[in-house]
Amino acid sequence: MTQDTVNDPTQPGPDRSGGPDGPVLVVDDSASVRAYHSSILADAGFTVQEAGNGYEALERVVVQRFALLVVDVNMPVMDGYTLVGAVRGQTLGADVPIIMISTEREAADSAEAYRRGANVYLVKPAEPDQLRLTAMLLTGRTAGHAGTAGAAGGRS
Amino acid sequence: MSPLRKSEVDEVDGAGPDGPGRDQPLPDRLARLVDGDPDRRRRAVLALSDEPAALPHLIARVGLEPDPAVREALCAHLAGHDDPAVVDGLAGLLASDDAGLRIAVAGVLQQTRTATQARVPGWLADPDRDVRLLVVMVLAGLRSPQVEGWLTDLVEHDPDPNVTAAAIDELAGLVRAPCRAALRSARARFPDDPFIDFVVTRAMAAPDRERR
Amino acid sequence: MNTRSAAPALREADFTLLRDYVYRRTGIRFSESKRYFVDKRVHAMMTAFGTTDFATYFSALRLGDESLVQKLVNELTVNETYFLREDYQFDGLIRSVLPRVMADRKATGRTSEPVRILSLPSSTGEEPYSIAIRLLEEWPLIDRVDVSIVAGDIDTRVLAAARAGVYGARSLQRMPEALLRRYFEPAGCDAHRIIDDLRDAVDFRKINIYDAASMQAYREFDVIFCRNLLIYFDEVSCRSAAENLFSALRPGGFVFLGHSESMSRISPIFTPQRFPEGIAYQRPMPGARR
Repeated sequence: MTQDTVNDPTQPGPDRSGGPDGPVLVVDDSASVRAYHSSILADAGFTVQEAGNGYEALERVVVQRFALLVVDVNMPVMDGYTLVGAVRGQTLGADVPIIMISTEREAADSAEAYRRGANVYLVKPAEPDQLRLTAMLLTGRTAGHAGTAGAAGGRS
Repeated sequence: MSPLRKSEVDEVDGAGPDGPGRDQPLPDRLARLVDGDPDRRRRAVLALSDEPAALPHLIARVGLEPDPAVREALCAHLAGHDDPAVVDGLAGLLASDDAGLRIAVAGVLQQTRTATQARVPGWLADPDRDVRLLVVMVLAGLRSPQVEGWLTDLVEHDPDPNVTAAAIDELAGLVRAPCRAALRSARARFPDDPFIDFVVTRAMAAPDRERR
Repeated sequence: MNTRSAAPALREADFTLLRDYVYRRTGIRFSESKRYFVDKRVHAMMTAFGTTDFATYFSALRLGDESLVQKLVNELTVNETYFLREDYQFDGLIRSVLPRVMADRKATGRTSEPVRILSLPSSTGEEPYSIAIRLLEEWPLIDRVDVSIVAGDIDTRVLAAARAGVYGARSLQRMPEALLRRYFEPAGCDAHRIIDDLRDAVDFRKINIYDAASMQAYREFDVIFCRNLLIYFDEVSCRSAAENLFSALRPGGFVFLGHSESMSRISPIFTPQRFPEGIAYQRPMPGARR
C-alpha cells in the first residue's frame, strides 16, 4: 500500500514551487541559535523560516518544499536524528539537503547523522563562512545568485 | 433508514488478543513488557498505568526499550509520577548516546517537579558538558521558582560556552530583563566567542528592557 | 462593548515574553493585530491572579501552577461549539482521509467491517451529527459501506443533551437551509430537533480521554476527531490523551485536531500527513518507515 498517493507532486498545491530557490528551515530549540544561523543564511540571500522543535519541523516539511534544512540534534519532543529519518521518509523530504548542527564532536555522532540521511554535519555554533558556503553548495547557489540580504543582522 | 449503524462496542476489561487484563496476576502483566511485539508491549505499558508495583519495572524499561512508540508510552506514564524513584532511575540516561532517549528522559524530568528540583543542583555540577546542556533543556520546562536562580548561576559560572549560551537564552525567555551583570560576566568569561557575544547582545538589546 | 477606559497596554517586552511563551507552549500565534485582544485578556488574568505587576504574573504563569496556563489559554481561545464548525476538516475526511481508509481496507481484506469514526469530546453533539450529515450528503460510498459513529464526552449532562438532539439558532448558524429541512424538525420556539434516524445512528458514550481504562474499550477506529480539547489541559494529561488516542486507532488511522492545535506540543507518536484540506495525524502502519 503506497503511503505517497496524497503527496502526489502532480496535484496542485501552493507549496510545491520550492526546490533550490525555496526557503531554508532552521530548526533548533534555542531562539538565539536560530537567530544566529538564520542571520548568516539571510545575509547570503536565503529566505529563512524557523521551527523550535523537531516535530514542528516535520509538520512544516510535510506541507512545504524547502531548499535546505539546518537541524539541531537536542530538541524537545523529537530529536534531530529522528527528524532527519522522518523527513527522508516523506516525498517532499526525500532529497532535500540537510545540514545537521550539533555540539557533539564524536565521530560516532556524525556517523549517525549520515546514517539517517543528513548531507553534512557541522559543530555548533556553525562558523559563519562554513555554514554559508555549505548552504550555497548544497542548494546549488552561487555567490552571484544571492539577492539582497535579509533583514536580520549585517554580519559578513 | 439511515445507512449509519450504531457501533457494537462492548465495555469489556482489556482482556482479549492483548493477553492479560487488569485483573490478571502482576507477573503475567509484567511479562508483556518484554513481549516480542512492540504493540503488545505498548499496550502492556498502558495497562500497567494504575499499578503502583509496576513502577520500578517501567522505570527500568525506559533505557532498554528499542521501540520509540513504546518508549514514549513509558515516558508519558512516568511523567505523571513526581517520585524520586523516577528521577533517580532516569537521570543517568541524560548521558546516553541515543539522542531520542536523552530528550525523552529530559521531557519526563521537566514534569516530575518536586523530585527533579531536589536533584538539579547536583546535575548543574556534572562534568559532562552534554549532560549540563540537557539539564538546561529540563529547566526550560520545569515549573519551579528556583529555575531563574539556577539559570543565572550557569550564566555566571558555567565553563562551557554552549551551556552558557543555552542558559542565557532560557533566562531571556523567563524574565523581562536578564541580569546585566550576569550577562557581562558571561561575555568576560568567553571574550573571543562570537556566538556568546551575539547571544549577550541580543539579550541586552530587546525592546524596553529595564536596567537592573 | 465595554466603554470604560481601555486596559493599560502591555509593554513591548512583556507582550513579547508572553507571546513567545504561549507559542512555545501551545503553538498559538498572535499577530500585532491581536494586540488589544491579548492585552485585555492578560489584564483580566492578572487581576484575577491578584497582581498589577506583569513580572509577578508571568513568573507564576511560567514557573507556578499549570492551571494558570490553562486559564490563560481558555481566555485566549474561542470555545464555542456549533454545527459544521471548522468544516474544512469534514471536507478532508470525505475527500482525502476516507479514500485512504478505503484503500487500506481493501489491502487488508477488512471490507465487511464498518468504517469507525470517533468524535471526542462530542459535547452537545454538534460535531458527530455534523459528521453524519456530511457523510450522508457527500460521501459517494455511504450507501454501500456501513459507518459507525461513536461520540464520547466525560460530561453526562452534555451527553444527555446530545441524545435529545435539540438545538437553537446559535448552534445552527452555519447550517444551510436545505440541510436544516432535511435533517431537523421544528421543536418549539426557534429550536430544531435532529431527526430520529440520525439521533439513533450516533452512539453517545461517557468517555474520559485521559483515563486509559475508560478508553480501552474503544479500539480500531479509522478516524478520530479530537478538536479543541487537548489545548486546554496540562502537559502530562495531554500526553496521556495522545497515547489513548493512538491506542483507539487502528494502525493507519487518522486523528484530526483543532485548527490551532498541533501534535508538536504534545507527542511525537503520530506521523503528520498533509492533505489539501490540512494536516491529519496518522498512527503509523506496522513497519512503516518514519
